[in-house]
Amino acid sequence: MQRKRIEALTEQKVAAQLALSRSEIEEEKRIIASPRKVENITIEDPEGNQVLIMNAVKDEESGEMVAHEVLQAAVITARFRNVAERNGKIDLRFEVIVPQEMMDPKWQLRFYPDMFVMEDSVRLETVLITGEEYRRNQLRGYEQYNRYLSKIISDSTVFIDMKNLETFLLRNVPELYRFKNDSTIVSDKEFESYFGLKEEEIVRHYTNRFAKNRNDRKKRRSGEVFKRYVKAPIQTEGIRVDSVVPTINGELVYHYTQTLMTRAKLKKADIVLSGDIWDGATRIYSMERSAPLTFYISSLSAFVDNTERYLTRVIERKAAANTACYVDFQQGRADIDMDLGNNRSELTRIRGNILDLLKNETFDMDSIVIAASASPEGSRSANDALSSRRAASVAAHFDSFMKRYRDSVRRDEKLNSFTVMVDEFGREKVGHSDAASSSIPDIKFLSRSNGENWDMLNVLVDQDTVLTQDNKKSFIRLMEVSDVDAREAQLSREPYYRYMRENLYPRLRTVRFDFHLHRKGMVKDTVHTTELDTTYMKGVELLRDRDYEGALRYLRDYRDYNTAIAYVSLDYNASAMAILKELDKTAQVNYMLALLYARNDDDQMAVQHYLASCKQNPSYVFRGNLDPEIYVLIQRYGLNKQDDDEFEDSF
Amino acid sequence: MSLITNIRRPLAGLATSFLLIVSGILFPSVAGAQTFSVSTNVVDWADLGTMNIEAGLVLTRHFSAHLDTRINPWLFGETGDMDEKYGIPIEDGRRIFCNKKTSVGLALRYWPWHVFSGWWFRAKAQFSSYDRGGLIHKTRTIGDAFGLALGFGYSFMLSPNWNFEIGLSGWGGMTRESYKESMMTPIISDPVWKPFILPDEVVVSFAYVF
Repeated sequence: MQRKRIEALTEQKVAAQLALSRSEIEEEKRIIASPRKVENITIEDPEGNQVLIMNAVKDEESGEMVAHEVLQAAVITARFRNVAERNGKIDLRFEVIVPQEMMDPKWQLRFYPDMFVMEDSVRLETVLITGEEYRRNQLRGYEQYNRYLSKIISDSTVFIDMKNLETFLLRNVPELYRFKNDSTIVSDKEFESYFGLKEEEIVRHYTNRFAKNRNDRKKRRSGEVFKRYVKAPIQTEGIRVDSVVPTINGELVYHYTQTLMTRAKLKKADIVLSGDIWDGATRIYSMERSAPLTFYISSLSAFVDNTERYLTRVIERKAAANTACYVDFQQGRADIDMDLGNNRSELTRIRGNILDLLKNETFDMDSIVIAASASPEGSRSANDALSSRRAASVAAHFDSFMKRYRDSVRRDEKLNSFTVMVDEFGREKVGHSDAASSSIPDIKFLSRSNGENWDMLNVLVDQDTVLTQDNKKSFIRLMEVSDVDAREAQLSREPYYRYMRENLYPRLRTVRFDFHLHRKGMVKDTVHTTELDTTYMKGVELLRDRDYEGALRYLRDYRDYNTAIAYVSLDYNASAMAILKELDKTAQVNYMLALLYARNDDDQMAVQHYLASCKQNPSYVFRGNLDPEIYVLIQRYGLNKQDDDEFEDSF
Repeated sequence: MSLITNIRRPLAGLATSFLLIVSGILFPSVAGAQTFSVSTNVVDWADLGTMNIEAGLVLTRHFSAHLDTRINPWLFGETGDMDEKYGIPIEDGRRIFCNKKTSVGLALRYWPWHVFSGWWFRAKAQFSSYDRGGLIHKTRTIGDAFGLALGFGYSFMLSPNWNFEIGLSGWGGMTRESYKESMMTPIISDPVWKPFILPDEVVVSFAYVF
C-alpha cells in the first residue's frame, strides 16, 4: 500500500512548490488600486508644462471611472520579485505549498529551503509537517526512553551503606563522625583512622560497587538506548515549524518569512526548496529540487555619491604654549632658594617642559618670556621692582641651566663622535668628526614684571570657601579704592586679612612662562593645505556598506546629499526632506524626493519628481520598479508605458 | 600443596603474633582506636552448656590475636545411685551422656577490610581435653587433642561497641584417645595416638569491642 503510494509519487514527480507570498501581493494590489488613489492627477513636468496623469478606465456598464487592475492573478506564478531593503534588512516572504498526495498520518515531511546569496548558500530553517501517527510513534519512543531513565539512580549516595559507614566512622574516626553534618569543616581538614584510613577510602568500601557500576553502565548506555527507542527524535534545532496536521483535503500552505541582513553588493537572493518524506527513521521519498524563487534586492546605497571631499586647513607658523609656576621667594627677596616650599619640584617641572619642547619635532622654540608677579603687601613701586628682580632671577636661573645643558650635550656629542681610525700606515689614531655641533637653538629668556597681582587675588577671593559672604562683599568694596597702596592699607585692617595674607598671598607670587615657538622649516606665516576629509569618507564607506546608523554618526553634521541618503534609508523622512529640498535638483535628488513624497502619500509631488528624474537620467525608469514606493506609483498611474519593453529587456 | 601453604602461613604468623600480643600489653594501645574484644559463642552454650569466652587484641589494621577457652564439666542423666562394689553410678536404663571438654586456643585472625569489621579468616592452635559419649553411641571417648583450626566468618557491626559474628571452622591434628564400652563402665582401653580432622566450631557469637 505504502510502496504503491511512493511509486506513484516517484512516477508523478510530486513535489512541494515555492511561491511568492500571495498575501503580500494581494496587499500590494490593494494599495495600488486603493480607490482614494485612483484619481487623475496633474503634475508639472520639468519644463513647467501641465501634464495630466490618468489611470482610471471607464466601467462599461456603469460608465464610472474605476481602478484599472494592473496586477493579474497570473502574477502569483511569477518566479521573481523586487524587494526593497529598509533599515539594513530585507524580508523575503514566500510560501511552501504542499500537495495533498505528499501527506499521510504515518509520514513526516521535511522541507529544506536553501538561500543563495552572492557566493554563499545558506540552509534556512527546516519546515516539518508531521503526521499524527508519526508523532504518536515519536512520543511512544520517548515514553520508553523515559522509563529507562527513571531506573537510573542519580543520587550516588543511595549506593552507600550508611548505617555501617556511620558505625565504622564512630568507632574508628570519631573526629570525622562529629562533623558528619558539617561538610565545610571536614573539607578543610583530612581526618584519618588510627591505621591511616581516609574518609574517601572508607566511603568507597561501604559503597555498593556492583550496584553503582550497574547504574553507571545504564547511564553510559542511555545514548544508545535513546537511539533504540526514539528512532526519529523530535527536532528542535534549526526548525522553523514542526506542525502536526490532521488529515486535510487539499494542499497545505506554509507562509515563510526570512529576514536577511543586507551587505555591500547584495543584489539578489534565490530560494530553492528541497524536501523528503520520512517514515520513522527511514527516508522513503526525496522530492526534486524546486525551481528557484528570485528576490531582487534594491538598496538605496546605490545612490551614494562617492565623490571625495577635501578639507582646507590653515597652518600657522607661530605657536605658543604657557604654564604657570609657583616659585616661593623669601619676603622681599629675589634670589631663588631651591629648598623653599615646592621650588625644587616646580623648577624641575619647568625644566622638563623646556626639554620636551626642545625635542619637539614639529616646532622650534624662539624665546621664553618669564613674567613674575608679586603679592600686594608693601608699596607698589617696591613690589614692581621686586617682581622685576624676581623675573630676572628666574630667567638667569634657566639661562644658566640651558648653558649647562647645551655644554653637556656638546660634550656627549664629542664623546660619541670620537672614532678609532687606522691610517694608511696601519697606525691607529683617535679623531672626531667635525660635523658634531649642537642642534640646540639659542633660546632667549626675556624677563618681565607683572607687578602686584590684584586680578589673581580677586579670583582667589571669589573662589575661596573659607571667607564668608560678608568678607567677600567687604573685599569687593575695598577693591574700588584706586590707589593700590591705600587699598592694601585698608585691607590690612580687616579681620580676614590675616587669612588672606597667609593663604592667598603666597599664590600671587607666581612666575609665568610663555614659550614662543615656530613651525620647523616654515618661512611663510600661514599655509593653506587641502586634505581628504577622512571623517566624511568613513561615513560614505559605512553608507556603501549599508551600516546606516554608523554612517549617520559621521555624516549628520555635513547635511549633504549623502546625509540625506542615510536618513532616507533609516526612514527619517522629514530630516531627509529638509536637506534634499535645499539641494540642486539633480536626477538623484529628484528621485529621492519622489521616494519621500510617495512615503508621505503626496502622489502628485512624487510623480512629478520621479518623472523629472527619469527625464534627467533614463535609467531611473527601470530603477523605479525596484523601490516599492515608486513601483506603486508606476503601477497606479501607468507611468513609463512606452518604456515597458525596455524594462522587460533588462531582465 | 596449597593446603600446606595455607596452614604454614598462619603458623608462621602465630609466632609473630604472640610477640605482638606481648608488645601490645607492654605498650597499651593508642587513643582513638578500639583494641580489645570479648566474645562468647551462642552455639557453644547450646552445645550442652559449654561455657566459653574469647578475648581479642588488635595487632594491625588487618590482624588481631585471639585467646579462647571452652569448658564443659557437665554429665547429664546421672542417677546418684552408686555401685557399691566399684563406687560408680549405676546405669539403670536412664540415658547418661556428656560432652565434657576443656580447650584452649590461640588464634590469629586476618581481616581483609579492617579489624572487627567484615570478613575474617582465622588460624588457631588449639589444645582440647575431651570426654564425650552417650548421645549417638553408647561408647564414651576420652582424649587429648592438639591441632590447628582454620576458619572464616563475618562480623556485623551492631553498634559502636557490639559485634555479631558468624563463622565456621574445622580442625585437624593428633589425639591420644581411650574408649569405654559404655558410659559408666570403669574399664578403659589403652590410649592410642591417632590423627584426626573434625569440625571445630560453628560461630554465632556476640562480641563487645572496647
